[in-house]
Amino acid sequence: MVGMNVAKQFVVTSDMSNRTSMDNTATINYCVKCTRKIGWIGLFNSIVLTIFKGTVGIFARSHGLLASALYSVHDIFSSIAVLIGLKVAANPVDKKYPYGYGNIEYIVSVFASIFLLIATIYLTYKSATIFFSVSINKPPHWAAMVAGIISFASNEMIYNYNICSFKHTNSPAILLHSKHAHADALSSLAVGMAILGTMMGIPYLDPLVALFEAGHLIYTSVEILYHSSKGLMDHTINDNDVDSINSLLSDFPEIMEVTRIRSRQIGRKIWAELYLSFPHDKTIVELDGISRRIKKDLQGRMKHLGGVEVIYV
Amino acid sequence: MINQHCIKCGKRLVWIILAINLCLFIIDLLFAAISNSRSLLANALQSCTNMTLTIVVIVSLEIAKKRPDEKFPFGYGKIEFLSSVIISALLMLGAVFFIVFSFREMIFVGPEKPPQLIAILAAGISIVANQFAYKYGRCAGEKLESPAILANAMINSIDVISSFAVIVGVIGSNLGFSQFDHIISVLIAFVIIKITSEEIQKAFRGLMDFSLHAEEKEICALAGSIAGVKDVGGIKTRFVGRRIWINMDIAVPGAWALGKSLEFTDSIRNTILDNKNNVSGVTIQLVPYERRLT
Repeated sequence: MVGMNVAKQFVVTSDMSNRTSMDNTATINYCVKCTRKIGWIGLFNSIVLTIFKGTVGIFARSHGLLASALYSVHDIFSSIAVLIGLKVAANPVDKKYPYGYGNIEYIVSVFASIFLLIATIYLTYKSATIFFSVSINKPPHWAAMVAGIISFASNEMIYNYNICSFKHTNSPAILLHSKHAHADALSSLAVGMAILGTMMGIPYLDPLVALFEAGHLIYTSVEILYHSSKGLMDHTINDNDVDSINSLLSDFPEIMEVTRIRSRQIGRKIWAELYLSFPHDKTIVELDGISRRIKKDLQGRMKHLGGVEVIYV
Repeated sequence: MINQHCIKCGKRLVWIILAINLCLFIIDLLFAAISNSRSLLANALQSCTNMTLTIVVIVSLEIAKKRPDEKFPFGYGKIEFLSSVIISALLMLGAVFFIVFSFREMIFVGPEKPPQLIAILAAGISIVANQFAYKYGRCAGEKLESPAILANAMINSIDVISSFAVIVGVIGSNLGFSQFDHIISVLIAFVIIKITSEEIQKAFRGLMDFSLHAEEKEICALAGSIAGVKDVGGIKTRFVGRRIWINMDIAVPGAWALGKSLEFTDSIRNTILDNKNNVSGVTIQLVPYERRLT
């Protein structure tokens, strides 16, 4: 079943790389469709892997594989977050939420990462007790190693798929999910290696990997929490976007000086207030023409523009 | 006008309530350990919730004082919503775990000895202290017309009720209804879930940039009353912490020169800032009247 899943992923990814070289609008349409599917595919992948790794982990007596199954449990939660985030965040701007629903993705990410942190701390505690108390007399069965490698391949596919979608949609929830898939892939690979090690005569390698994985999960969730907190605090947009706004504004000779750009990221959308100084003898009608041209150009050049205001100084 | 004495009293209030909740948390926890009463433990958890939420407000108001800078061009006001969401979520999880463990104990461990009657003493102290905090908070909240202080006072009044419930639970257990103490503790944990979920809802609106309809109307009327303003449109308001941020379009005759219009926007901005004391920033976009505002 997992093998089939992997094969399906592979077809999708290779198809996508052909598509990106095609013309722009077709790509964007394709990406919207792809992003809609991504949550469901990720969810399906994680559920299958959780059951697979969980059962093999129990029968093959591998603590590392069980910890890795917990990675997949976390993935299930993050897939659900992606689905909720995308559904609500796609709502258009309205009276109640004049800046749109973009921030919902950050909020979902905050809750997901808090949950992740608590679950991982619990997992660390459990692995530590296993590591220090249980006498390891029987090494894990080699089947656990095969399971680890299969799960690595499957997750790596999902990761590549997600990263491609993130580049085209800028969605924080998708970034979160891609990080989960990547972490899951690496954890499965580590388990495979560890079991190879135990078979070669290093028995404590398996619970050690479980502990290490817990540490890594804590790191990932703190990173996600930090990233989404910055977004919710109205952190300014990244330098690349500021640079592209600046380069566009330099095409307008009428602007005397760009006094200030005040910007913030609302989910995947960018909102900006441009403070531009103009000669004081220009009339409002003339300036309005310029500012409308600026807005139109920005809209054309930046895919994730939520709103822009031009303020004369 | 608001009495000078009341303003001073309001400033002290936060610290007094914080001290009361800290003392109650310690007393409840101590007596819960001595008397083995689950409901008193839940009551301690509730005092802890109140205390933590107060600390969140104090700390974030301090951070929110920082001026806007390169990284956070709209200021640091939103830290209050963010920290409130995170802390409330943690407290809520705590309450959920408490309920789960209570049920596990009820089902698998079964009735033990009933809690000792000394727990009633702690509950009594809790009732008196919370009643005091509630009266104090209501007085200050009504005099200063602050909904935030009034909401806080309500939390104290809920604490009074749960302390009464503790007494009922302890006496009931001793009269032979062995699970009574446990059941009351679960009920109190549900109250904590309710308080924290209300906190999360409030912060959620702030984080989502919920629009402030009443404020918008008021500001529209205010700007519209200024001589020379032809039309006001595209008004958007949102909370940045305790203060609001306003984005609006003002229509002026298209033939006006920029110099004249800028003086005009300054006067509008000053009128708004003078008349409303909770405004953090006003962004005014000028539009020629000839182009219809939406």
